Amino acid sequence: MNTFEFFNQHFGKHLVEQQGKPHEAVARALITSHMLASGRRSRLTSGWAIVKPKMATMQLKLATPCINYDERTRTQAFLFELEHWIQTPTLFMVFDKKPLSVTDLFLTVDLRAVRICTPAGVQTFDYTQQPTELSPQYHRLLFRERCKHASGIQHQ
Amino acid sequence: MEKLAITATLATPFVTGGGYMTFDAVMNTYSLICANSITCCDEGDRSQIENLVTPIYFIGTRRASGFGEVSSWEIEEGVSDGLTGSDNKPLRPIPEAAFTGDKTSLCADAGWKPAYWHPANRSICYVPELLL
Repeated sequence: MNTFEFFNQHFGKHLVEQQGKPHEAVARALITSHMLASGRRSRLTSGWAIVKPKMATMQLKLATPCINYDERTRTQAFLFELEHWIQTPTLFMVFDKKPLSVTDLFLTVDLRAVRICTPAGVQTFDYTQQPTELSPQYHRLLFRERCKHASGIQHQ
Repeated sequence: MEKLAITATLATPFVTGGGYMTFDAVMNTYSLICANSITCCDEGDRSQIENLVTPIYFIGTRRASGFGEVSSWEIEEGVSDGLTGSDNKPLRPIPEAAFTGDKTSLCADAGWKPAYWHPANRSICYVPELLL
């Protein structure tokens, strides 16, 4: 299974009709507007999504009931997923005003090559290693959040 | 079938990248690689591979602009099949189902067949660590 089939099977099918080639359906899901829980329509322009087999979770509340909704921040949600890694293919997506490009969608299947898909490009890093100054933004953010979380537990 | 090292001696630098999903008016970016030659490892019939590569005069992208001109091809006996190294680690992306080497190797979503840039040609593969 490639990234697009994975995306459509576990996330995209809840958003758009599955017509044409898999990557065309993915592009439609990322570019077109969707019905929000509030009754308005909007593209996926904010928040995040984590797609795992048979389970998609996202921050932006859509009208579809087939997706789990979660109010945590991007770093909190990604950190939780990586800290509780169960060796299953996962898609980490960050949404912003600029649509996420289909060419920047990559599955994460190994903690040594975590891939965060953002509208500015995909960020790849080794989660088992500490970040350096040159590490991608999300590697540094997740490490900082992890340290904060660890010190919070120690204080308790 | 024998292990072969196929070398293209280059007259001009070669270019990679630039692929895009549509033919819309988009700015493509390319990587320019300056090298005297490029060698790939393979396993196959020497004479048939010779017939296959000899008519190739350019490699990479932007060939019409003169990049990647091949001045000669050389086929020698090789030591690797081009798939796994002596440590059993992958030398290129190999789909999970086809990989017979060290299963503790790095695993990632990667393009494993041409056009490598096209996401439809990606799959979960064992990959060399240098690739990421």
